[in-house]
Amino acid sequence: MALIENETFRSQVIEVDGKDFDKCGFFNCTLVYRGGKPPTFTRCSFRAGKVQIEGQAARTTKYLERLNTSGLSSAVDAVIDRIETGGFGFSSRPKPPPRMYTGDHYGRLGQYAVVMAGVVFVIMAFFWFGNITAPYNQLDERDDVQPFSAEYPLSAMPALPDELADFYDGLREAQVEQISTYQWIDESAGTVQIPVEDAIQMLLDEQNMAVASAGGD
Amino acid sequence: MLVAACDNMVDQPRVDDPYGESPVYGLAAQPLNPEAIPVGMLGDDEHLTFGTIDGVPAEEIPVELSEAMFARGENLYEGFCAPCHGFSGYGNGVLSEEGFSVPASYHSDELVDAPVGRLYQAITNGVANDDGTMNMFSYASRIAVEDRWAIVAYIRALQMSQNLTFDELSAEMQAEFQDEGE
Repeated sequence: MALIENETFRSQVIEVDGKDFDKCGFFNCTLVYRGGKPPTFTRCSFRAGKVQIEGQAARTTKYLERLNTSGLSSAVDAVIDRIETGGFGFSSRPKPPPRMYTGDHYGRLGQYAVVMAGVVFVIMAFFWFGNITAPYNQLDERDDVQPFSAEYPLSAMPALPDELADFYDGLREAQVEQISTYQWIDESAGTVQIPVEDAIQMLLDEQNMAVASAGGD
Repeated sequence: MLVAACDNMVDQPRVDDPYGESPVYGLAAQPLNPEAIPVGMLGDDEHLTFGTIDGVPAEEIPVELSEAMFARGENLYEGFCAPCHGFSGYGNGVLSEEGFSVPASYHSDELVDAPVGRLYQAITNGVANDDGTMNMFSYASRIAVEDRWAIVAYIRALQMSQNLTFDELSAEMQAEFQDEGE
């Protein structure tokens, strides 16, 4: 057998009879088999491409075609299946495990069982520990407990009428003016009003002078 | 399960009427113990805590005056005192105008000459009427000791702002006074 390794074929027609391909890449190639020694493909990669069966090899496909159209299509399907599953013993692809008791559906069943158990437990706990909304429902039924708004609707809440608000604002303005402007209180007696900030400064100055004179002593 | 037994504490033994009898304590709403001491009043400094020196109202503020202290005093005065005493201290606050008891004006001779300790005591103990009822109740539980002195300092400033004569003003202030008058 001719050994071909580490080759890359792009868009070619390749005769594969009697060849061993090792670590080759086939990109959009046509592989032609004529019934000679079957080739082997080890560690190869395929991208797109076609398979062409000619010559003596075409006899097998012809045989299967005729069987298929003659009414034995089920047997032909079985042959195709065996080809796919490696049943003819030529495939190097590992056989898939038998489709029985893989454990997936057991796992899913277990998940469902846990969820159902959780739901049942929650419902049981709801009734075991008491209906937690019951106290509030009972509050609705009790006569001696009324919400505050039932007895004092918002419309009856005291609100400052506009004239009263204006009166209070005027009062505040007049009083603040007394402590923020220079004016005579009693010109005949000589008493004046000064801004309270100036009075604060005078008190601070008094304290500083007292501290300075005490320090000087 | 214990919680569920009393319906999440909706039904529990309690006395609903504050003035009703309590089987355990006598009265449901407990009155203040007459020996209770407000927070901050357990100090060793008689002058600072009680505003007195050997039982006599003090003449001086025991805390050093500063602009920050006056600002705090102004802020607290406007909140706690102005509703009755007015913003300018004449006793014509909003509540007094609306029928609450009218306080004395800070600018009366009596209070202008009063020692600061007396103002401090009014805040701490309240002011009683002749018949024993309280004209002004104590603010000791609501205003801390240092804050009370800040209010007293601000009241002193208010008094000074309304009780000076023109001659007592500095030259600068006299000039400003003349400018504003014009």
